[in-house]
Amino acid sequence: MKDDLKDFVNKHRDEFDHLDPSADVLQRLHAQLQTDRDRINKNKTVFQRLPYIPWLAAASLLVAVLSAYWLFNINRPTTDQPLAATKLLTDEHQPTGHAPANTSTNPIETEEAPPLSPPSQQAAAKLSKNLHSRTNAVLTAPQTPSFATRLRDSSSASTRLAAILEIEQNQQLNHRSLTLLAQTMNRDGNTNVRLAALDVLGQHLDQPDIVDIFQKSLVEQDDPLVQLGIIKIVSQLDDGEIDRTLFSLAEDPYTFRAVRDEAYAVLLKKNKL
Amino acid sequence: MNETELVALCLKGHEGGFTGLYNKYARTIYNSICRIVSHTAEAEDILQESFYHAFKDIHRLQQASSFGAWVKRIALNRSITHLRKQRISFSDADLVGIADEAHYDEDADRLADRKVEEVRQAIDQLPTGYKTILSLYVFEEMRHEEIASLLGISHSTVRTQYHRAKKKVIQSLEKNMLL
Repeated sequence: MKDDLKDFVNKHRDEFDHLDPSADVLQRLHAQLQTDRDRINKNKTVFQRLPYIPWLAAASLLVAVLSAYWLFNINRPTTDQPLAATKLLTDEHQPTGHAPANTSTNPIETEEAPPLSPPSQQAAAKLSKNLHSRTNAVLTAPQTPSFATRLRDSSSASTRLAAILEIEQNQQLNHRSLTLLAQTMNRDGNTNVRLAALDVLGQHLDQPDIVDIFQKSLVEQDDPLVQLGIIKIVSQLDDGEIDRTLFSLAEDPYTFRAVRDEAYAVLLKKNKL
Repeated sequence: MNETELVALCLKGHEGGFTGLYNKYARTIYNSICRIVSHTAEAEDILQESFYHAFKDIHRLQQASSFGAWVKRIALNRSITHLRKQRISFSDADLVGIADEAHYDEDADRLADRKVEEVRQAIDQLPTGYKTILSLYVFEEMRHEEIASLLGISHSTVRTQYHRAKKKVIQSLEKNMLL
């Protein structure tokens, strides 16, 4: 349908657009856009400003999860399985009524079988039977790393502490256990582990080698807390070598002051000065 | 620099892109707004807000070449919203007082020798409802259905009101000529 008004407008369209907006509009628009940009920049989170942060967070989370999984798997056998194995062994020995020097329940000894001295054929058969039953018990128990392996596990202090706890629960210490504990007390990277080893050793002052171990440790020890613990324990002993070591510690200007004071106090108490 | 390149500059946050697009379309859109919103300062505010929202959401624009049409549509929507805030209605009920007048021949071509200024003044004198519908149909070339949807009225109302508006414009022009 013919629309003369529409035709007229189309014919003169440019003339109808006769108004111009003021220049202020563009300036206000620029100001508005700039304010908006500033606000957006201000409100941007750390994640938006540093786009690599989410990747770092994700990587950290992954490492944490893997570490937790690994720690869980490392810790699980040390807490349950060795104790179960030890219990099996002790249960099997109780009915025999033999207490025994060579049939210690210490799992360390199960790993390295002591040399058998054959006093008689009957005893040898009994021992063989015992060994057989112990071997079966060990085989039926889940495989666990040895004490030595666990004490050398530098990645987990809790594993080493658990190993020391098991040694303590075995009550009897053999030479190998003493050596392992002494090494742990002197060289472990964790003070708590060292102190735990010291505590176990301190419970066995009747052992023949213990004085020598403490005396050497007083000289070698580089952890003042452990040194203080050793001094506290050796103060109960009456040994000339220990006293001389304490004296040299008290005289050594490089000895930690608290250790020096403690050594001096022990010597004074003993009237060895 | 064409529209697509200017939009690309805007997307990179370049000031030149914003200024270029504004200078290209501001005048046309401002006149479209002024035909609906008579107040100049309010029309400028609507123009500014329309460009601001278009630039802010420019990443949503699917076809860079349609920026002009997009921002004009934003401006028209805002103009209509502005009228609604002023409680201006586009329904027949508000325009019943303006009765059809006699001596109107639909087919006659009475605008051929008219000046643009005369026609513009005749349109400006229309009531806001009529002027809006006439502007949207004649100047913005929107179909009756689109206008009906935009204003929330029926298609037949748009058609009726447009014809009444056009008749009033022609009658106004004839009246001025007689004077």
